[in-house]
Amino acid sequence: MMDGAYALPEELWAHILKFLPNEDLKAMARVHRVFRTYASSMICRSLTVCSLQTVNVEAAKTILENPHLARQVTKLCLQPISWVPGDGAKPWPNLWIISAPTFWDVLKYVKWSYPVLSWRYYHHSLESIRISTKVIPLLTNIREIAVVPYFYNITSGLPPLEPYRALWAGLRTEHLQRLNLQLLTIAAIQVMSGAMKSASPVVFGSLQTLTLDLGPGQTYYPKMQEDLRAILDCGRGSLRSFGISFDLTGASYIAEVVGTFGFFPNLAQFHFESVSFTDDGHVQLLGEHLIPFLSKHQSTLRKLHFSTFPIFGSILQFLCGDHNDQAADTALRLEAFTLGYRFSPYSRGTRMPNFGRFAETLTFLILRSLGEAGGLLYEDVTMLFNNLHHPTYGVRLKRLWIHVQTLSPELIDLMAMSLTDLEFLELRYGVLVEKKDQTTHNEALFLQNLSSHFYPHWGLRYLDVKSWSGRDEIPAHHLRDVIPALIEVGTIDWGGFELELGPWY
Amino acid sequence: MAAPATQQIKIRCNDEKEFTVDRDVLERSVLIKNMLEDVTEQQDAPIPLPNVSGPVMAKVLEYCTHHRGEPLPSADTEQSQDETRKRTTDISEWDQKFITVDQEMLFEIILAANYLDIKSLLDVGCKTVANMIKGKTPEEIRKLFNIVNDFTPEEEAQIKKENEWAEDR
Repeated sequence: MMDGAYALPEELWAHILKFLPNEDLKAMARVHRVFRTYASSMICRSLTVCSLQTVNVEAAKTILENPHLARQVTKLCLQPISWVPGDGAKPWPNLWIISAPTFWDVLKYVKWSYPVLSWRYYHHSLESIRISTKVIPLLTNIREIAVVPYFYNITSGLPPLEPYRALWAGLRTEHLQRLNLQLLTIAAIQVMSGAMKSASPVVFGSLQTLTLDLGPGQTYYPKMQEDLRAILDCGRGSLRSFGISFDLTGASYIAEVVGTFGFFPNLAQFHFESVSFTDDGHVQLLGEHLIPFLSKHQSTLRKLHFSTFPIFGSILQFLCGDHNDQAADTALRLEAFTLGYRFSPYSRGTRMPNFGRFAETLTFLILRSLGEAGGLLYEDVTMLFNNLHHPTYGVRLKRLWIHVQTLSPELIDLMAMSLTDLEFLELRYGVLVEKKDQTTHNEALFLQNLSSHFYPHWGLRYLDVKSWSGRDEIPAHHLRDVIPALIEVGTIDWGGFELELGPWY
Repeated sequence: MAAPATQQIKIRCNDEKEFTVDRDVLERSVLIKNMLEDVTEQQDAPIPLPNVSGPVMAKVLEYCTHHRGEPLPSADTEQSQDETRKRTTDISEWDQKFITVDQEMLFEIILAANYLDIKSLLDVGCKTVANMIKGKTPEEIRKLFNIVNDFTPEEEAQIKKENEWAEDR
């Protein structure tokens, strides 16, 4: 080469390419033969199999024609919408069809349930499964698998068995790290658990993350315990993060299965999600069932995320030390705790939890989206920080999200003094007030009072402060004037509720 | 009690240019660190660095002086490919200003960082080149780095087809 590019040896260009996203790697592969060799091997591809969409079938065909591309496929998505008659997976009648809102919905159900009735879909599905079955064994570098039923909203209850079998029996990867299963029906659980048994054990040897979405309509059936256990077993080896979501009927039964049989020796993160509970007794029971799960993993768990309404009082009590004698010997050393969906210390008798036992380790706390009762009072915030104060380290929080009923300059004072290590703060307030003991909205006096403060030693870098009523905003320059370390004032992009495992893992 | 004086080390570049530098600054380079550990007695002769010129070494020393005292990345913290990509634009403000040089000097710094084994500087240099590439078409990249297209039209069509279904991320 050359001047320019030729001044650097190939191995350094290979290092440079590591910093490029897919789109630019694709461009680099077309620049020069040398770059093609390196860039092509780094392009990450995702492939959707068992799909009726032509583009996905064509992609699978391209791999069969160019097997060297198979190594580049790191993400695999299974869309089991096809149907092969005679494989034993009959369409599963379910409650939905009984309560289908209109005659046309029933027709749609039948159409998608029995694609064999439509020659086009039948032909496509056979072709897609045939090609997928051939291509799956070539994909030896798969890192992530997602099983996402394509028409689950209509056909809740009828995944065909063949695509699942093709996936698990054919898979040869030893690099699988993430597995995301949407099993929204009883049939989906049954079929998946049966098919996973046909997988080679080495496939799950490196699994780090398992996410199970069990949908809104699961009900008890006789083999449910056995089927769920078979699915949970895939995480016995190296699983670090487990997420599960389910709702309504059958929920407490699922929780019991998870609590009794779910055990992952290296689990560091647990994520639980549910919505639409209406029965407090039911919720309480569900919480009780999950406690054995938390208890079993307390020596390894570092991050907990509950996205649920309401948060189970019994779990909070277990975590924070008020749950009779169970918590007395808890070895939990939480680093991150989030309540991602409607938490209020004032609703449903749930008291403000005392996070004091995690003062040494907790760096990430989110108490998000309070219910109808409003936010924390000044006294609650004071108590929260006092509880989290460690005699040696002070308050170790680096990231905090809370709702407060009133925001006064004194509350900002309190945060600046207590949270010296804080880097990210998301603050939601009801009204701006001049002083902490007032409740009447007064933006002008708040700003006037705030301007007399100055926090040169507060290291806060990112601040997202908003009124939940949206009626007023604190101008960013006022905040920058008093907190000079601020880099950004405004919405903080923190990737939803996904908590990535930190570098310490 | 006075702090012990920092040991001064002499180095000589390929253009005979010599520098006398604090040992802890030079030890940002794993190559020089290992050389110094192998020498048990005090040596007055400068360490020869035949692959680095004086002006480039001056820039490298500017970087090492600014980052003196920071922990060196350990060999076992090699990031996975995906993690590395996430950090693409993660260049600190000072480093960005430091690395704002012409292309020839940028490549010289990368070569020197590679030879001297200064991983953090190598990454800063490589990320900067990566950022120059981002968003450009193959033809623009060729022009930027003075590269001659060596593909036949058939090969170009084949690569385009192969990459059609690679996701953009």
